[in-house]
Amino acid sequence: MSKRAGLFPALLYGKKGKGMTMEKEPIIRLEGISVSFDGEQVLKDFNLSIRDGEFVTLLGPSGCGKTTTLRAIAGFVRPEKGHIFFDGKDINNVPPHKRNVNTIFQRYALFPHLNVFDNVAFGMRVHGKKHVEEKVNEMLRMVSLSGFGHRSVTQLSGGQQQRVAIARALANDPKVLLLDEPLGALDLKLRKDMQVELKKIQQQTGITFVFVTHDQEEALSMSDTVVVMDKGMIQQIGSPEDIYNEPKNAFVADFIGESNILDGVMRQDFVCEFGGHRFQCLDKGFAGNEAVDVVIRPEDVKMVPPDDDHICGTVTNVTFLGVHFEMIVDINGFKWMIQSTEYRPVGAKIGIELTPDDIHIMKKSEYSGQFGDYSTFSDEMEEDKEATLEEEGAL
Amino acid sequence: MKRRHLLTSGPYLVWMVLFIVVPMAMVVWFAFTDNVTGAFTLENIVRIGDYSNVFVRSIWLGALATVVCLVLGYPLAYLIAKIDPKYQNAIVLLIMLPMWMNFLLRTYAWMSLLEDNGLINNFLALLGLPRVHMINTSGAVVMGMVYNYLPYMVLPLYSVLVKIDGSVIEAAQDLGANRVQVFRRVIFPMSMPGIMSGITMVFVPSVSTFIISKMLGGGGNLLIGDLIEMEFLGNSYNPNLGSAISLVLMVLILISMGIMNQFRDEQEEDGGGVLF
Repeated sequence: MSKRAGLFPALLYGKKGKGMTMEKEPIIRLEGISVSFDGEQVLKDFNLSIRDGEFVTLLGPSGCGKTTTLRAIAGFVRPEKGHIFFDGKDINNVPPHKRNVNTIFQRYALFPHLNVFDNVAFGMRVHGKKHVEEKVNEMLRMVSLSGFGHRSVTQLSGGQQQRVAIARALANDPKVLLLDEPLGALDLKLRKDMQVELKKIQQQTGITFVFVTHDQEEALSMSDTVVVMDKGMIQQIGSPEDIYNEPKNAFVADFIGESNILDGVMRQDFVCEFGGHRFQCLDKGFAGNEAVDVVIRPEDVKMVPPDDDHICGTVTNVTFLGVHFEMIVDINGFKWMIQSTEYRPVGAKIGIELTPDDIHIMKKSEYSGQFGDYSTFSDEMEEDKEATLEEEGAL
Repeated sequence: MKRRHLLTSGPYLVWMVLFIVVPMAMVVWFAFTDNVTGAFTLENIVRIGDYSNVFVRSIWLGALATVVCLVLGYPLAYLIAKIDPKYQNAIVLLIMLPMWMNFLLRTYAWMSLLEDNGLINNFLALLGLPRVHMINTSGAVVMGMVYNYLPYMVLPLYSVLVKIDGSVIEAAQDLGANRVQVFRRVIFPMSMPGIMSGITMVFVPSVSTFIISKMLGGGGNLLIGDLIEMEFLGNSYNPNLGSAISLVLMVLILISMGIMNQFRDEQEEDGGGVLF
């Protein structure tokens, strides 16, 4: 059924699209979605288009609305305002079991009373499909669980349960697969393996993946498009490279990777001033003397001997991280993070050299001044932050 | 070390031997001895054949009450498990509340309700409807069993249903199951352990009750429990026969529980079990 339904629209689009510059109709379109729980607004006038076959990641801290977005697409959350279109059709009133999307849940939500085979076969059986056994075995082979069919799902390891959940969702031939922090409960090594495997499955099947995570590294390494969210709103949409290199505001710059975010002023096009010095940069189109946020990635900073031509500071903390050293440098009371393969001891005076390429200018936003200073930095705190994030994510 | 274990578990061991092992042994002893000569005999067991109709009736009425409890109790337990958790405890309390009232009193209350001149019939008469004979029927006995033992069905069902993870139900919907399929393929099979313990907890006391049948069933609805009571306290005083009946009842219940557990294991192992 679904295969046929999936084939014909594709043909139609193919014909209609010929000779036209019009892009293919997105497979999922969210238009002005608003959702609130107990009077608290979780999504605010949310708009998002997802192309067929795309790997889209919704990235943000816990409580940013990413899971709610996913649940709205799956049909478990009904938006108060706005419309969700699937293949061009409004599906606001379509119940979850009639939507051609499947979800991989945070804690897998496998059926404990069924064995591996019956878990994977569940969707096909409720749809009354034929050739269940062939298909289930094919799915189990795909997730490297051949021969596990008779095992009880309660006896499987976390990674294996995860694979069963993937096979179960894909056995239904969904057009879109929704993944709700699927790797959150796995240990680091397994998570890395599964990232590669998921990406491979997505490329093989060509199914659209909508992936929810709070792990920026995961988002950058897997996605075609990253949607950075906070406070129920999209902060930035773009390719992983764009998001990293051209963050739109202090929130994105801080959330994706490490950033030093400084107050600066655009003196004119391609010239900015911060830390008491003028720099050439690649940004333009700001008002004269407009106050801006300046982003400098720790790995872009080059250390030079201190002199009057450079911003200078004192190293206050050094951490060896294998590939490089991570140094906290006090520059007139503002603490920078610098990553370098060269070592400087605590107390050393250094100068900082920046090329126009290293400087990224952002307009001021509500997030200005909240992020990008490492004065409270300590390794322990960083780990704590990650640990709490993970806990919250797992909830 | 070992001595200390013996010291702490000693009182319990003594208790168990005195109040469980010895009485059981006595029941077995009585069941296989003559009530006059005290010699070994199978007479008591053989004589139970005379009462086979009582056994059949007991099991029939007990099974009927169990089925009614399941049919009434399942939707109730399901509803309680579904409502806002902050009201759940209060409702569970309400269901347990009648259990704290004396059993005899509750059954008496039903007697005065069901009597030919009881509350219900007087009410019917008031409305100009014909009176219905209810007391001293097997229906009244089943009614009494259902009323008294319904909580024992609802509570285990509730405790199983409330533990079913909401995400599992969402997963079933997500995979295309409609409401009926979600229930049939996920909720019902996952609540099987609760169904089994509910059935056991209603069936066993229903089969062996004697107060309910005595008060609501009159003389015509003799159950195994009544039979045993008669042999020990009644005119036909014969503790040996009474013991034999108790023993057979116990074996019957053990067998039915064994079958039940077998069924449960099969559910869990998905057809992997072998009968005994």
